[in-house]
Amino acid sequence: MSSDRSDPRDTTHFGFEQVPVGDKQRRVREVFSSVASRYDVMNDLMSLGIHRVWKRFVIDLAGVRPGERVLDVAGGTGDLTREFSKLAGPQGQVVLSDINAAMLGEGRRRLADKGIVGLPVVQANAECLPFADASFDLVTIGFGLRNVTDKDAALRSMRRVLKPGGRLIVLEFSKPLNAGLSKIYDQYSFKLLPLMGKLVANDEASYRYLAESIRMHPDQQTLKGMMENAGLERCQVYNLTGGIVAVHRGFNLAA
Amino acid sequence: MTPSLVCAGLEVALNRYLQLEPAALADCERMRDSSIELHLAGFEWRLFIEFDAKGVRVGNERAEPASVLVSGAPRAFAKLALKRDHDAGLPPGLEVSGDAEVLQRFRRLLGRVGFDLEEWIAPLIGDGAAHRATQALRSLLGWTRRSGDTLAMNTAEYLREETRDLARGVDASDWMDDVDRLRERVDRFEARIAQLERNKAHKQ
Repeated sequence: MSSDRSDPRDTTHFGFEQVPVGDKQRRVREVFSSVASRYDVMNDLMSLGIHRVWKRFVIDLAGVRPGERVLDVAGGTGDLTREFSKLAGPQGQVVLSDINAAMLGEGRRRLADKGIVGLPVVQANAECLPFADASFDLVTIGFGLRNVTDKDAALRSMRRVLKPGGRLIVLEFSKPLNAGLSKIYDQYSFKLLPLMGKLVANDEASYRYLAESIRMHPDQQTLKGMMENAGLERCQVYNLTGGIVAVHRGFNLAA
Repeated sequence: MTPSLVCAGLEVALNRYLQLEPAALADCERMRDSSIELHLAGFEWRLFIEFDAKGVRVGNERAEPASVLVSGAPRAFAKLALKRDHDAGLPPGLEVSGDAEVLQRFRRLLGRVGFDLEEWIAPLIGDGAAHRATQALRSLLGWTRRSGDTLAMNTAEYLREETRDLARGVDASDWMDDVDRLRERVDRFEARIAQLERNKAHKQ
């Protein structure tokens, strides 16, 4: 892992806090282990249910066809995995992957509740995915990239496992396009969100981290540049809800 | 720049349509090296359609020029989309530059995709029920179309014969012929006056 190879004196951001690179992964793990059981309820509360529309857009844009191989990185509770599994059908294969065991456990339980069993579930770090080169038609990462320590390494790793012609779709919070919306969003994120975290999940700190990590995530054009640097082509940004969320898509066109 | 959500909407719609006909994807694969640029005048939107084995990709920018550029008003593109005969010419108002064969191949490809409602709903409600449901729907659509045609004919007849707000086709044609004849006579009369004036000037 890149964090293991890095200089122990190097720091990275964990929300607004600077922490040693090696510590970020552990602290992110603690956050998601803490929120795993109430993750979907909180998502509905925090986004007023709009996260379902954002995910629907990703599913439509992905256009998964029967027989395709799909990797859902940082798939958490398996929302995207479930839909991709229906579209890929019995000839296809969808792999649910997450670095966090608690989130994966929650995802596996929810998929089983929906009657989806026998699907590969892999605990893996997005920075060094344990899959062969050119093995997936589609790789998605939904609301996960901002928690990755070395985002460039993760993008390179996800491109590596894409087949020629395959596509990577990144769904992530981003920067609102309108200054007025940005102010309202700031108030919501830093005042209301931690309060909801405290009341619903009894975990104010984790939800404060979620809000801070969104602000520290690269904006639309920066992330697009990072994807291009990772070797992805025809990169396109789709802003949703005024840029609060952005979907980035790029293709691995190298033969 | 074209809003990316417009590109996404067109791409999803085209790919869903193409998915109805598996052979269409093989055609898309054969068109891999081709691309189409659509320029919607007025909005100044540019959409680039590229092809691969999975269908089409629609973007709002492209480093290289597309194989063919189709430019026109949104209304002309709407007429193109609604046109049933994909081998017929383009509707007026569209300009094509570049390799027009690429556009023609894409239009033929879209034309080949068929939508069989009966096949689509049979897995849901069974073959027999699907057949009866589609027959009933066809009858309903046929009745609606016939009723619409009858209503249009009756309304036109009322406006022509009862209220006299509209001219009959044959009367309008006679009137146009009269106008043409009058115009020709006026032209001849004007030519004769001009000739008389020239003769008068010559004698003086």
